[in-house]
Amino acid sequence: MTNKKTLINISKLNKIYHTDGTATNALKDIDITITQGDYVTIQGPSGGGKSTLLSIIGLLDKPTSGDYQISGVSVTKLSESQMAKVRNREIGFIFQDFNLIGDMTVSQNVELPLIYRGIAKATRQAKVIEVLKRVNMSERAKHLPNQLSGGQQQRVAVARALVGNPTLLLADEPTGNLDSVNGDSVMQLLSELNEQGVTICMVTHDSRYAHLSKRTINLFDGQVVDNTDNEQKNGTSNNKVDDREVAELMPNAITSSASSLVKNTSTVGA
Amino acid sequence: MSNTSNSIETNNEVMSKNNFIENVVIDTRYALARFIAQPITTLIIVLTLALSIGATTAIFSVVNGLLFQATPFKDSERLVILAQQDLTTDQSYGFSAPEMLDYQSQAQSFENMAEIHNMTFTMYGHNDPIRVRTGVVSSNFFNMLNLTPILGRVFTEAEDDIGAEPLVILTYEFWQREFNGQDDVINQNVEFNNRSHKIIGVLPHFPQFPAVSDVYIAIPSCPWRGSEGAQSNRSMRMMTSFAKIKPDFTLEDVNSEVANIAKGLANTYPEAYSANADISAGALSLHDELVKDSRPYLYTLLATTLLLFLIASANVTNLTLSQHSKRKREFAVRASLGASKARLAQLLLTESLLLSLLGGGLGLVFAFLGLDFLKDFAANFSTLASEITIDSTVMLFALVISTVSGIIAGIVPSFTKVNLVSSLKEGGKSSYSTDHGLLRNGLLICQFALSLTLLIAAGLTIKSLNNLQNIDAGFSASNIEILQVDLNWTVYNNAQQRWQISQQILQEVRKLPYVSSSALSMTYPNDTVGANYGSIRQAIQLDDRDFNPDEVLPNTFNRPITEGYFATLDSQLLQGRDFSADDDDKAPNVAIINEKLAKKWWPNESAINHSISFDQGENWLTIVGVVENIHEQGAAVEPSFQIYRAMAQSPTGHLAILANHEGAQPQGTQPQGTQRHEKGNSTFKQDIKKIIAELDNRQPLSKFESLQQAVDNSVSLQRFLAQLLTIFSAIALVITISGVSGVMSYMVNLRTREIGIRMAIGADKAKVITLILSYGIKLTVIGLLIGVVSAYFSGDWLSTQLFDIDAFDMVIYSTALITLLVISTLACLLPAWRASSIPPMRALKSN
Ligand SMILES: Nc1ncnc2c1ncn2[C@@H]1O[C@H](COP(=O)(O)OP(=O)(O)O)[C@@H](O)[C@H]1O
Ligand SMILES: [Mg+2]
Repeated sequence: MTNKKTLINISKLNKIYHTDGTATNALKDIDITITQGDYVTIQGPSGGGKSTLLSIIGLLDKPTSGDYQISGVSVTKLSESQMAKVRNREIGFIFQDFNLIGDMTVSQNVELPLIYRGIAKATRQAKVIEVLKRVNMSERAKHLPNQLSGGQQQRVAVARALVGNPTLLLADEPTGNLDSVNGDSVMQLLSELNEQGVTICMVTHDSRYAHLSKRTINLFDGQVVDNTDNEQKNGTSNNKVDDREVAELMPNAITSSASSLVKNTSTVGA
Repeated sequence: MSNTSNSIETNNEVMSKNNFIENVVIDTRYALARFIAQPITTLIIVLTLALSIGATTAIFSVVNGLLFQATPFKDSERLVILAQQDLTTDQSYGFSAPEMLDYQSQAQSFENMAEIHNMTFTMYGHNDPIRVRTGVVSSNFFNMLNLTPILGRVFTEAEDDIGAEPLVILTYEFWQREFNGQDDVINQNVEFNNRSHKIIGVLPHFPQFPAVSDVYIAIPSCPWRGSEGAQSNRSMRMMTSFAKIKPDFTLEDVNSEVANIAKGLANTYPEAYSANADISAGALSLHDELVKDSRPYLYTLLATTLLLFLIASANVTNLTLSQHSKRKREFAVRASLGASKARLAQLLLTESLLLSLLGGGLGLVFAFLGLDFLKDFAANFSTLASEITIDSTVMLFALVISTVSGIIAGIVPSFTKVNLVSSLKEGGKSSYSTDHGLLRNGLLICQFALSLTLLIAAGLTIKSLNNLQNIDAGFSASNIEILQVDLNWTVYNNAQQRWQISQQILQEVRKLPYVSSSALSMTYPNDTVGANYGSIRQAIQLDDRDFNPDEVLPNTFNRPITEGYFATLDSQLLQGRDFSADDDDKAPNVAIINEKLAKKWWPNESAINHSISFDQGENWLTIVGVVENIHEQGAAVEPSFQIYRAMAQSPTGHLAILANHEGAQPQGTQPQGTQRHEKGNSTFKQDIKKIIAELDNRQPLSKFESLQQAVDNSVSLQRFLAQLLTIFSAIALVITISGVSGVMSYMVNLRTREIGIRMAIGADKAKVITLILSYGIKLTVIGLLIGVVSAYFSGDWLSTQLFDIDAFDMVIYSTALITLLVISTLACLLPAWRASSIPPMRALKSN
């Protein structure tokens, strides 16, 4: 780990949402480091701030305060179009509900990031063919998203996220809308990609998949409550159980031990 | 990754230069695929634009053809029309032959002076004898207008001299119509005025002025212009003259110079002018003269179509906003993949411009289809109407307004503040109010306001037309057929011969079984040919007061008629008697005057048995009757002073034969009015042709029309205007309906879940419908209230332009208001019904 380059460096990061006069402190003084080749799972109960954190890492949203560096360059002051450029070149997104563009074929969807990057047509087509082969979707290149199963759609979404060779792949509950068979195969794909060197940061509340990653970050009420290196624990099933407890118990009844962690009373926005 | 900031800089440049075109191509391809995937929305947007751009472009083509394009003559900006005026009476005159020569020799500011006057002659020697509208011109006329004949040649200067060989040049249209466009017409001979004329040339098409002619002849060929009297008489001011300003002079120079010349001539030849005349002269640019009557109409119409265009643009912007709201997620996904705001704006703009250009293209087709209709309309006020085309300027105009509407509709949605994170999650299902709700409602309100304005403008125009047609014009036009005959003056060259054939024609017409009454006259109401015949421009002496030579009544006309004229027209004799067969050339001279003249001359007593004289007491006419005022020049024009004379005592070469076939059923089988009318018309046509052929088979007939046609033609401009405004407001209505149903459907979509909740907690169908409906009606009412104000302003302006209307008209305003309210309610009802019919469970799940 020491010889690996630091890719993401987040320190003292806060995110506060203001809605109708109430402020929601979605992220509180977050410090996270992600190195190249890492595979990080973010876990935690609903409303814990997972999606918010991922959006900020993905430059879809800006933090209220704190610093965020990518490869040592601070990105909190970037302009909107510079952020778009970074998203385009450095980051690949995978969403829970796939977010393929409905009137575009599979290959058009996958081609889109390359178009935005201004890559020549011949190169684009070669890359699209290559990446579709990689996710095993070559046969469906001319299909429209609604002609595919959920699992297939998510493979296309992965292909689209990968096509530009991003330094970081972000996935927010990529299996949330899939049955277990399809979910397993997508997770398998992500593992393979990570083995090939792709850095992955994934949000999931399905603890079955957490062990596939190298590291797990637990977010509770906007704070990192646990940052575990799975490789050192070597895949014991103990913290799987812990995770599930936190994930399932907290939203329903805040236990006394959990509530002691709450520093500010926060309002859960609609 | 270490080069993040560097790569951003360099890539910015690479992108903008090399990939712009490719991006446009990609966006275009995607846009077209989307249009095909959503044919209905695409069609609505394209049609909305096509209708409004088509209407605006069509009207613009008229404005362009008449006002913006130069008159299609060489150096047309230097061409002027000259006129002499009497400043005391404000009357305009043309020029007499001696005056032409004086102006030509004295003037320094213009190069050349050409003359024209219009006559109608009978042409023999080619098929049947026909009446031919003839322009009598000086040889430099064609040169000045830069007309090169397409066949043969034009007149030479030598051919201006009295005694030169009679020659004729055909217009393009006449050559096509009468000679089938055959090349061998050159050197053929035709006969005018008992003389053989050689055809020497055929002109190209050109906008004719001051009147449309069939043929042109040179000065010496015209029996009147070539006569000794016309050559020498200074006060026979029959000619219109054109001049070409010298390059270094201005219109003002010409104006002041000709005014001076006029004053000089008046001093030198006082006997050629009426006493107290203050003579001047002036010049008007040919172009201004050709289009002067068209401006107010054209500006009204252009303003109207621009309103329509605004309505359409508001509608398209609104539809695009709805589309954009549905596509929030798509745009968020694109942003997450690295599309910048500018790149997304470019996509929106490409789509929007594509649609508006499609609409503009189709609009051009519509404009092209409507062109002939508009040319007929424009022909009402300018001979330049024939020059109206969809030329490159008009196409550019269509391109510009299409682009403008495309840019507006494409740019407005780009100003949305998009929350990427929530758009990616919710797929854009947000609440109506946060979704341009205000802008959207505002646009809809504007559409209602503008549509109401248009609808009311159309209503006022129709009412004005109706008032015009329903005014008591002093006669009834129904069932009257008219034939005009211009007696061949070389045959009927004295009063006795003219009266003889007139009498014979009348006798034969009265024998026709279906003619219930008939009469002859020189002219008749709304006659476009003879309206100015018999104009009296000298003072008339009355029996009970001293003669004052300066007391010249304006607009006084001498109208020879036979007995039965008023009965045929159903005009009321107010006092005295009609003419009778006994009022012949041996009997004392008699006259019937109209009420207006009787009141003018004898306000406190009866005019009957008073006498008047046109020649200062030499001959006297006794007034035997007073007839009601007849509006001769359309209902909108005040009746003139009319003096009717017994035709036997004042025979004319211009005959109108009026036959009333009221109540007659020639074949006894046609029960319906219009059929009977047509039957009457064609039977009369045939019968009278036969009558005249039997009396004189070399006498051509001039014109057939029914009096109703003449009346209709007199309001054709107003009718065109009413038709155009009706078409435009119908388009506005359709667009507004599509706008309101679009907005309501969209709102219902967004509120489906809310509706589900309401129904789950006990709201019934009626409550849901009321909820949706009241929302739509609220918007409608706000729009209509604003519309009433703007309609009042437009009505105020229209009332100054149109006949007999006020800015506010209760019936029209309430009809327009109710129409829009009802239509809008119906348009809201459909989405409201749909909302109330969704099962609550589905509605609740819809998020
Ligand atoms: N756009 C927003 N406006 C206001 N509050 C928000 C918004 N997005 C998220 N939140 C709040 O921030 C907190 C964290 O949300 P989120 O990051 O979505 O959690 P998770 O993904 O872990 O379920 C929650 O309390 C949520 O209600
Ligand atoms: Mg989440």
